[in-house]
Amino acid sequence: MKLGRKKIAILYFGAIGTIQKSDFSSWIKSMPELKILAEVEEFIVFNKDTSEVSPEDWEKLSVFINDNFTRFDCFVVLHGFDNILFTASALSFLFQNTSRPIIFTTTKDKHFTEKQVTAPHGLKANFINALQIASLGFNDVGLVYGYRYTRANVSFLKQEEYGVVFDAGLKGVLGKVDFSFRLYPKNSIQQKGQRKLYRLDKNILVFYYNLFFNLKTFIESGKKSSAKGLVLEIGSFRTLPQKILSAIKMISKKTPVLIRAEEKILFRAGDAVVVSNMTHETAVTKFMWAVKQGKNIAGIKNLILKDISGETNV
Amino acid sequence: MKIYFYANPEMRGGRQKTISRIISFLKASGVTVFSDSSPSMMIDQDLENAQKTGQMMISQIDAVIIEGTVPSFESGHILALSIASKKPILYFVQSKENVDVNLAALEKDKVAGKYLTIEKYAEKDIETKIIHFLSTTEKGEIRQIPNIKFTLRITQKIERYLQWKARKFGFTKADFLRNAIEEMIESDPEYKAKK
Repeated sequence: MKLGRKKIAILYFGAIGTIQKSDFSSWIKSMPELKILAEVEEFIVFNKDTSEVSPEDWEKLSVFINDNFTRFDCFVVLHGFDNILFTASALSFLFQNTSRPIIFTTTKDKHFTEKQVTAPHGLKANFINALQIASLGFNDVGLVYGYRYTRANVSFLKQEEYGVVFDAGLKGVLGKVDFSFRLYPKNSIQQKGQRKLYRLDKNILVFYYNLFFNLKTFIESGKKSSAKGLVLEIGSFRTLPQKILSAIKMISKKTPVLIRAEEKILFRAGDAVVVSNMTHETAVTKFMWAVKQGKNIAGIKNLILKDISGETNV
Repeated sequence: MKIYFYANPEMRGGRQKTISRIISFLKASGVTVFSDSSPSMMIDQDLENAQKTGQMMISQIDAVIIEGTVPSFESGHILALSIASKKPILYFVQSKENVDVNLAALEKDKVAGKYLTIEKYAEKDIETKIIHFLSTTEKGEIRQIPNIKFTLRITQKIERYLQWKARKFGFTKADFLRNAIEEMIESDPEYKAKK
């Protein structure tokens, strides 16, 4: 249709449902209806299961998009269900001021059959919605799943009665899509300025606090010169035992430490930076980005506390 | 039967009469019509109900009718979503307008073509075309693409009749003959018994 069809790159990033690398091209070709929506070209960027994805793969994705940036109007990333929030959040820091929509989509069902592809959150429906959303031009790194269109770095998994979905707080919802589109441009960050490609520091260790937390390993990791930073995810804990706080105070003098909590915490933690306004995936990937850019602990702290790509708008 | 009807809002002003006529006719045929082309059929509530159960609206309807004389962003999306969901689609284009080449190719595609029917219409034959679409959809038949060719020699008299009939109902001569044969098949009990 003469609607100024956009040129869209479809990026395969890990096995999705039953679609393996070898099936990808024929799967795209089995949908002639795509020609009505856009001019598409497909690429394989990551060909393993996304349970195996690493920060190096996130960087490869950002470099791929950057290298092909001027050839396409937008990018749709078909990502395996596992780790999609990590990849999408990482991309929002790796690749800033994009001026092109980058939309992620996936399906939960590992064993979907042809009959199930249009079931709720089925891949074909999600993919078609993602293509159309990409054509609309919000520049956020977005996630399309079911009828929801959210900014990826504020998205989280939510259990509904009928299954798992991705959702976001009120300010993170960019639109709803079904037969018609309802878009919320006010929630889009609409990045401006020259696009920039960054890198991540991969020498970050992530710890999860619970009753069986191994303090000895945590302290030893902080002393290791190879560790450039530590993340401690404390979930819904609001206080920590004194001995752990003492350890954090000691480590954070020399090594950047980020504590991520679900809610505002009730303790002080030396030079550690504490955040409760970001999702876990976003906090970890932003920390990797900030450690790479920051010159010292104070600089890293400033970067973490500054909103970079709408990630604090939970 | 539940039908989703879409018309490009940009053309609604000039074509409101036609759109209203299509909707009224569908309703009179006993069809439940969902559409955002008419305030009385706003689908917000239905959408909300579907979304509460995690479903997309497409899973709740049986077929789609699009008035696509002026293609739009939404019409392309509804079309693609409906084909992916294997829902029958009647795509209306006014008889004086050309059909987009991509769309015409889609109708000939061996997979997508099973679900998509493009019909050029004139004011006088809208109802006939809708009835034909509804009856095919109700029977659960998917569209078969006519792809067998043969030469049929006819007399001047038959030719004149076909010309007149085709002009009167807005069909092509080939469509008229195909429909006539379909009707003969339907009303032939001996043939049906054989099947």
